[in-house]
Amino acid sequence: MAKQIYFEDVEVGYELTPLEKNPTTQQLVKYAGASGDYYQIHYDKDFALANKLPGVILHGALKNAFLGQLMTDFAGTEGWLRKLSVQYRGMDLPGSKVTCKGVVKAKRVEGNDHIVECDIWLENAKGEKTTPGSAVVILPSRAPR
Amino acid sequence: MTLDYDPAIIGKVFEETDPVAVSAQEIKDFCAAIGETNPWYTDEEAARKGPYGEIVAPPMFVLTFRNGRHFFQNIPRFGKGGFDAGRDVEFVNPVHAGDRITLVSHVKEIYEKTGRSGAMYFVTIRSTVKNQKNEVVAHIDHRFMGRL
Repeated sequence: MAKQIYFEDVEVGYELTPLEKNPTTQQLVKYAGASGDYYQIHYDKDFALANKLPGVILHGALKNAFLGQLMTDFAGTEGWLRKLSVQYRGMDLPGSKVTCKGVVKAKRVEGNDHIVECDIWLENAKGEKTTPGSAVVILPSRAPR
Repeated sequence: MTLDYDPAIIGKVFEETDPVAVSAQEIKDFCAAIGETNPWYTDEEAARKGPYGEIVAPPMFVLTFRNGRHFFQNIPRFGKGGFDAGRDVEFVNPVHAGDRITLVSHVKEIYEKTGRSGAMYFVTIRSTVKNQKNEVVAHIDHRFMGRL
């Protein structure tokens, strides 16, 4: 595990450590099994093509999970991911790298909560943001209570 | 064309699932599937020293309760199908191995908008995820959209 990050360590514009994923068709089958989402567009190429898709595509919820991991890696042991929103804007196909990225958009203190808001997104190998979104995390503070 | 629906469905619970038990093995399988390697999700020893003292699921595990096991069997139908536009998830409490999870779902909002690609409808279904202690684990807003 990386070192714990504190509220005071980040400023607006701070870039989160990117998380790279190389999803394969095998990973989609594993995710189908683990999540119970057996919609055939995620593992049956003929079915996907018959549905006018370019091939099997990543589950939206799998992309959510990748972005969730970006945020829990950032928040660390003492942080808490409070919210995560995404828009499924573009399709992603297995066999090609996707990267989760994020940047701090705002920070504020509400009561005892040290809140950091981020813009987050998943981009494909061409750098297109297929899955943009936002996240809110609570970070620990160095300030005495 | 406008969307044909009964406004009385807004806010009304249309589905409450039977409880689903979560095992440590399912959390492990989920981690293996997404490529999550943080040991608090998979290793009991590491989890004991972690913030919750036992195995918890990664936050996005909550999205699996909708799939397969419970795919909105009673979802109200609109227009011509439509597609999945995204998710907004608010996390309140972690899912622990051994929890029994229930989803209570209602239609949160329905609206129409005309943009560059024509008239579209937007539907948000909110599922509140609860555990066996009746604590809220998460709120999941499933956003769907389609052409009118």
